[in-house]
Amino acid sequence: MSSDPLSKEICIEAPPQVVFEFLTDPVKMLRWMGVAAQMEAKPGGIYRLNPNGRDIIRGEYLEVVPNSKVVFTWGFEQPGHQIGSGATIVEIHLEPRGSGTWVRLIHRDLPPELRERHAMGWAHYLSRLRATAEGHDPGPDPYASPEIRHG
Amino acid sequence: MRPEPQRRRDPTATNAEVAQRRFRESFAGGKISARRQSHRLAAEGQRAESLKVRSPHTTVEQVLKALAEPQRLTILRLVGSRELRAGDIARHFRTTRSGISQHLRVLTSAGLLSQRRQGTSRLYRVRQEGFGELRAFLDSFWEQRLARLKTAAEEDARKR
Repeated sequence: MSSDPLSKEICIEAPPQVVFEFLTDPVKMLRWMGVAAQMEAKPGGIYRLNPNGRDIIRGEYLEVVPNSKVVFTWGFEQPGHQIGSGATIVEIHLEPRGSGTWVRLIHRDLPPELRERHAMGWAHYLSRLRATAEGHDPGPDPYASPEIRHG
Repeated sequence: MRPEPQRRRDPTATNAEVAQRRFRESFAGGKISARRQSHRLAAEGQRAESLKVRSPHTTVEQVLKALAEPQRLTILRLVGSRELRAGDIARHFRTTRSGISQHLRVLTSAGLLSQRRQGTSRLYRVRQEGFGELRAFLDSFWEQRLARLKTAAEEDARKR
């Protein structure tokens, strides 16, 4: 059973092309999320991210519109996770707002009992994305610890 | 096996006497009488009572012990820049809520976390003053180095 999609919005003082790079370039991705990444941002391309040195998030890009939209499946590679590889879908929409970008993230098909944890997680990561894309150092990521439960 | 005469069951003892003897024996294997045992416990209680007023300063050792646990370090990182509810902190971990509560107690009593109530929940955040002793401890080594550098540099200057 899944709940209503989880939706998070944030305004970033950086143009959409800058934000888009932080979502699709693995080197730039790691500046705000994860400790290792592999991503081919094109439909059918792989999305693989190790957030904490322990778990591996795995998915596949479904839709990639430069500077505007990224959609990928999202689940965990290792057995034992409630969300299996490809079980949920993450959509990220980027829209220009003045000199910045309005970012809307939608996470679909999450099990209801995991919703609150993911809401907390995305709020955490989106604020790190904002800091990074605006040219600041987001600082060490407490979620990158293997002690932190992902998924 | 050699029989133990004093432990042998006395057929004339009533159930109440047997129960009383077992109760006495339950203190320190029956070596001390129940009366002496209760005196000893009272004396210990008084000693503990006299130590109830403690210095508000924690020791470097206490701080290091509190830090030397991966989950506790992670908790400190989580509440380093924002205040979080105990339940939200626990939600980040795989372990049980009670285990995380125990870690929160250790960190709070080491002075590394501050705690306040809001409704039915407790909010935690890092207490920066709690790191003062440890910082001074670490700085002391650095200052020794600097002092040595000063001495060495001055000696060198005199030789020239």
